[in-house]
Amino acid sequence: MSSINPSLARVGSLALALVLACAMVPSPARADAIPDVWFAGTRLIFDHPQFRGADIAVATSDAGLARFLARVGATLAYQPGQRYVVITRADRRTVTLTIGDPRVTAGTVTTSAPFAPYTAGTDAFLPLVSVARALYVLPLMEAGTLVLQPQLGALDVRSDDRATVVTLHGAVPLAFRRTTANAATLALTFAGLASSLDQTRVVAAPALGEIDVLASGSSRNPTTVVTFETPPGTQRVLLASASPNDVTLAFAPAGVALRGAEIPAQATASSALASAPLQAQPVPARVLPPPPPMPAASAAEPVSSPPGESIGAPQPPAPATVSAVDLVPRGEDGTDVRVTVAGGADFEWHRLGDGRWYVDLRGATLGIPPRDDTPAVGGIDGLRVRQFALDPVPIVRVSLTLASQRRVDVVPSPAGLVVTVGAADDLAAARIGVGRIGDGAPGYAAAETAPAPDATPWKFGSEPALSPATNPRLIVLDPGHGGSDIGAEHNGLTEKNLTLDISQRLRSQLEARGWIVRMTRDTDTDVYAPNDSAHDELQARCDIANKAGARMFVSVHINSFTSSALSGTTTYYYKGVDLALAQTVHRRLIAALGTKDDGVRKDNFYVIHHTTMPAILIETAFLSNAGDASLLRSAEFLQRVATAIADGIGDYARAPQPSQASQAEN
Amino acid sequence: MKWLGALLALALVAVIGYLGFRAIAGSSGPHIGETIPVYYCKIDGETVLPWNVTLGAARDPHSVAFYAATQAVAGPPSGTEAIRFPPGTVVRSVDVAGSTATVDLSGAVAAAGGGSFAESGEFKALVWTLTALPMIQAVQIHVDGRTLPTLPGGHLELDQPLTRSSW
Repeated sequence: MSSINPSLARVGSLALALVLACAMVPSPARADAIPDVWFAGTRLIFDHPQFRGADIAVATSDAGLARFLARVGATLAYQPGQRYVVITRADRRTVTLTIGDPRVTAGTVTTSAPFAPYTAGTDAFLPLVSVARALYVLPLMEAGTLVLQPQLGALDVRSDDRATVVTLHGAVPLAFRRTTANAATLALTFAGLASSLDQTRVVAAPALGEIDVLASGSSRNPTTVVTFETPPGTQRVLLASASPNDVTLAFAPAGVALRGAEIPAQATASSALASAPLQAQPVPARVLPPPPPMPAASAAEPVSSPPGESIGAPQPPAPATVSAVDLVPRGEDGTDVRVTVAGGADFEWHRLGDGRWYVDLRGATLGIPPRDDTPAVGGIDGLRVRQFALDPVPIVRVSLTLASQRRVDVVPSPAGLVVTVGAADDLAAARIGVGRIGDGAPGYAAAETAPAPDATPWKFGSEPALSPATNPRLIVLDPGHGGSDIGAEHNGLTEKNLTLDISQRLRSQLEARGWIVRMTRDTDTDVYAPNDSAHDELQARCDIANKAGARMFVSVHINSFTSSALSGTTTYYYKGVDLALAQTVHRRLIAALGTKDDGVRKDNFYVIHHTTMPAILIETAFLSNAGDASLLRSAEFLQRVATAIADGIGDYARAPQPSQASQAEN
Repeated sequence: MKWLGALLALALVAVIGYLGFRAIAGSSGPHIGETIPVYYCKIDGETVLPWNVTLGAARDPHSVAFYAATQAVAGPPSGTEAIRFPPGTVVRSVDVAGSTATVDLSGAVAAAGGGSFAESGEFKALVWTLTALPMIQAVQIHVDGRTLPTLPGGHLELDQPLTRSSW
């Protein structure tokens, strides 16, 4: 175990408290008496630090504080006039301070600072030492200097019967050297970091016996070695970490499928972020005892119940009672689930990806026995009614297991709530909706309800109204981005080039089938002007289609995301009139491409909002995913994309339309 | 008469103290409990789920709206897979006028050049979170103090307030 650090930490902390306390007594503000502050090899200079109790007050606008937070990968949010100061760590956990309240909350642990944050002018003043502790940084006094020492602050171990996953959390972006790697031992050395975790921990999990943390070195130049003792034959891999301040390793016996990168001789967490896959399987948490100075968890810790099954209580509704839940067949129109409710209640419904659907009635109690039925009628395979929660707000949950992605309509009624499960599927159904019943409730707002008319004048002139195509044989193709706007760039591929390539292939296909095609751009160029505003550029694309009276507008894009794990094809629509085109084209794309089906989705993207004809935006695949990128490098794949879109347009044109009988392809 | 004067003085102190407490506690406006739901968008890009966040001592609507926005932008702790705002994105301010909250985000949100997929999930989480508060129904986005017509990567439209119905 550590030969230097524990005593240093204890003596240092005591000395710090004494020095700061003594300095505070005679004078409330002695900037000249503030010790030099060192952090990770550099001196931090603060603008107007002041002693306050056994801590140092620094302003939220202080450049020294900003430098410190930047080094640990944290950001600070404060707005004069309100009372919260929120620091977000690199691992997205938050540290909360409140003006006038000395408590500092990081996760489930709340500590008390020597003074409460206070305001002066437009600044809030924070307790620096207390903030540092919440960021896994240990304050130490050394020869009149305050050393803020980065720590390897927490260690999470998660295991199931097949594998064990260990995540190390640091104060700063983590870099390590693999100093030992034999059949029984793996040792990683973290230079520049100390640790209060310095002890041997018996894990006794699959493929991992012990974890030993050894801190050594001086207060300014600490080193921590983490050693993992594993049974012979154990697989050991590096997983992607969500934060550069984390390193995540997985251990499994031979024979267990374990996805991950080989643990390199030398690595940073950011390199692991780029190279290793995401953790494969969720495993139950088994967190080792939280180390000092601060915990691994945050105030924003998800509740222990599964996400989606716990909803906060911003406004407790009046008491209500659920007195009946009845299934009422509607013939070919589906089945009604009629929930009789006396009193007022807020409701929120969710559609899950596996066919489950539920509605929570907040502020309601169950006045009938719980039910767990398998009616298997009208597309409803399961019906469950239960008192989901009693405290702090009573919640009744009505859950359905649907035979498929059935259309579900939720309508408040005088007697309560009517949930209609349709006979047909709705592949583009909303996933969530909220509303209120009883008490003369104002009504119901679902995720896909049209926005209320807005009195705000349309910023760029009148909002375009749908208009019949004056040229029903014309399709406008919009290769996304172009010229000075390159779009996304990953894996050696550039979005603007691929969108143009696909669109040119698509134009040939459509022209061969009798359509007239106009491109918003036919070369690598901006449509409006180089380095123009997004509005000018996008409106220029819409104008081409709107002025030409095109029958359809198809915008071709390539997706990207910060995680390379995501892949697949998405087709977006916005206006109601876009939906049928989106569905038919998407069906063809999924059938032809073999990419993951990410669905038909509604979203407020500019070019599909501001075009006056059926318009869709296709995100062909993810540039940021290695598999999708490999496909996008293939001319044969790009040709298949073009053919699938053309086939989808053909399907759409041949289907009965409310207007504009198809002239091409018929 | 002496004791009556003392009693009146005590009553005056009590009233002033109570008013002061109300001002500090921010008890005016809609009732807000110990926790608020903060939403995140799952990595499927579509499912929006809540988790509970415990408030600190401040309960006034302005502080709570700001706090809710910071939590939505931070997202759930890193162990939870979620579509997240780009690193470095900070809530500069939240102002509530009527039922519309104007959230000013730092330029990092527009500098990342993400795709439509990420933009959609990010802003869905923020809008769901703020509109879960009793006083907010719509969210106007500013970036570095200005209205942006769209974001540069995925072109999500931001020149008008977003509501839950925007998706």
